[in-house]
Amino acid sequence: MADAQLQPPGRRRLRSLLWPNRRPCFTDVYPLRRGSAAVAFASSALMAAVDTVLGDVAEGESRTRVRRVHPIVKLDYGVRAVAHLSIGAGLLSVFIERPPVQQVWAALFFTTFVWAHLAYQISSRARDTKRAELRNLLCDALFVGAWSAVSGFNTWITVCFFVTVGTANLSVGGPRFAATSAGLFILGALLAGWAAGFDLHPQASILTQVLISISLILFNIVFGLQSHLQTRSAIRANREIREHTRLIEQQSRELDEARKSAELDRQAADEARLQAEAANRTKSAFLANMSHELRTPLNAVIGYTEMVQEDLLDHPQLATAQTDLGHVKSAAKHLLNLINDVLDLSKIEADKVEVNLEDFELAGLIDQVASTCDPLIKANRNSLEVHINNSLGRIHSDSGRLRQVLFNLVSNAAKFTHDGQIRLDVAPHVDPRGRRLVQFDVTDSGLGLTPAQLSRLFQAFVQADAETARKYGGTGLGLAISRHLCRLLGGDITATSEVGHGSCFRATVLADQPGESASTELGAG
Amino acid sequence: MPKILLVEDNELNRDMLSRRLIRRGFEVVMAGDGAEALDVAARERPDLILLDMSLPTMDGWEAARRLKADAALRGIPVIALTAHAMSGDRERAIEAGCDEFDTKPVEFDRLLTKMDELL
Repeated sequence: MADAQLQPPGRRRLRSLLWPNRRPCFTDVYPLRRGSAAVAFASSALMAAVDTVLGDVAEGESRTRVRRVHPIVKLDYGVRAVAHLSIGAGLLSVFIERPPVQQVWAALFFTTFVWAHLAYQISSRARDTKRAELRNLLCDALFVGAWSAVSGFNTWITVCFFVTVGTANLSVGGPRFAATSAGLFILGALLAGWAAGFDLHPQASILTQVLISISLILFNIVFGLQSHLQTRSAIRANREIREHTRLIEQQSRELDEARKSAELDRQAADEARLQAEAANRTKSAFLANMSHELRTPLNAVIGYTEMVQEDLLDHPQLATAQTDLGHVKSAAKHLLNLINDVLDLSKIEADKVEVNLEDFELAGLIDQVASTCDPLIKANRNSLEVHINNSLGRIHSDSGRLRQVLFNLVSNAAKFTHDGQIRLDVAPHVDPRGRRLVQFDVTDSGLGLTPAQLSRLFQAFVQADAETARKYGGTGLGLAISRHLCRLLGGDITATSEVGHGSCFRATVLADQPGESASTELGAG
Repeated sequence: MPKILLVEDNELNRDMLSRRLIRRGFEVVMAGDGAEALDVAARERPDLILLDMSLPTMDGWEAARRLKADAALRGIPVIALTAHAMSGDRERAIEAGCDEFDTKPVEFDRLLTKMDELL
């Protein structure tokens, strides 16, 4: 108790109250001089500098890890500068009045070299910058509490420290975080108090009050400003997000509309296609009916003509009439061929051509074609030579259609050649794709064709020229139909020619057309 | 002489074809549509039927089906005649029960050959 009485008033030593018989501490023996307060301030400033540098390192490191610094980290670094100023100022004012004891130097040393380092170590192990920052702040609370104790629980300093740390942590981490930091503040105060002795110096000098007030005002200004800036940037970010959302919604709506319009287009196209198909079916049915309607009277014409021809056989004196009836009959047959051609082309254009595939002997077919064409060959005093490669036996194709094509080619050659020679060469051929084809070359020594005529040769209703049509007759459909048929049978027709030196038409069909007989029919009549 | 039933709705063609057949020595009975054809066939029991497929009221395909469904008339060979000349018609005619098929305009000699084969 005697010791206690030696103490100046207001400087009751709590520790001597708690441990009355304690051994004198070395700080009691070597009180430090007043001038060392300047060193304390310098150390505090150094501490702030080291802390900032290490904080930057920590921030840099975490940036490489998570690439973005959390806004509260930015908030803290602005506030921290002022907070350090406030701590430094408060402590300075205290230590001017009351020279620091050795524990204060120890605490200064600890704060300078351990606080920043510890904060760095703890925060650098955090998963992201926000957690790092929060840990940093908890460290701060612990040490600020310690400093509060070192100041002798100076009321202004303690309240200032507690409010500063508490406000910052409440703002940054929320109530639970603020409570934790308050706990650490108290823990720091208790630890420091225990180490340095609970010297109570609640009275603050005017200087301390002024410095603390200034630093509190500065702290509040910086904190408020930072908060304001962050809130504004958050609002701006929010507005941008809303704007983006609006844009995305608008684009989504536009996309929807485009999709709907595409759907409508597709429906329109479908409808148009269905209409076109219906029109095509109507056309096919119409042609089938027309064909029937045209053939019925033609049947009568040809039939009666043949009857009258038979009647006239018994009347040789009416030989002229017999010849005339022959003309009637051939004209009627020509008309029938034209009808058949038009019908064929319509079917080809409506994709309604029927193909009847079967195995047949090629030589037999060629004989038939040659004999059918014989009258035409003789009409212009031509001769027909047929060469069939012996290796060709049976082929799988449509004999009727092939006959139609060959008849067309040979009769064309006969029509446009006078006193000349027509050759039909039949040979196997393998195309570049490795398919087995049969190749029919019909060569004549007739008029030949100019390149311009050649180029239009396979178009429907086109003959070499109008004069040709008048002179030689025909619909001009034969070659167009023949080419379509050959393509249907897996081949093609090509032509080479030179004016005055005749022409060569080459037809090809697959030797083994795959698939069964496929037939389609025109509308029922 | 074989008796031929000629079913044809066009008067000119019926007249022409019947006279040509008579000239060749056939006995010819005639009908103008499918229903009449069935009646005449039942009554006259022809040796062969030339059946035009495009007929009013009852067409040739229906008539052929009914002829072939009738036990008494089933044995009479039927040659279908059509002006369509589509290969599909041939199959349809055979499916309906016809024994042969020929196109119009009729090539008379070819038709006679086909008739000979069936008689």
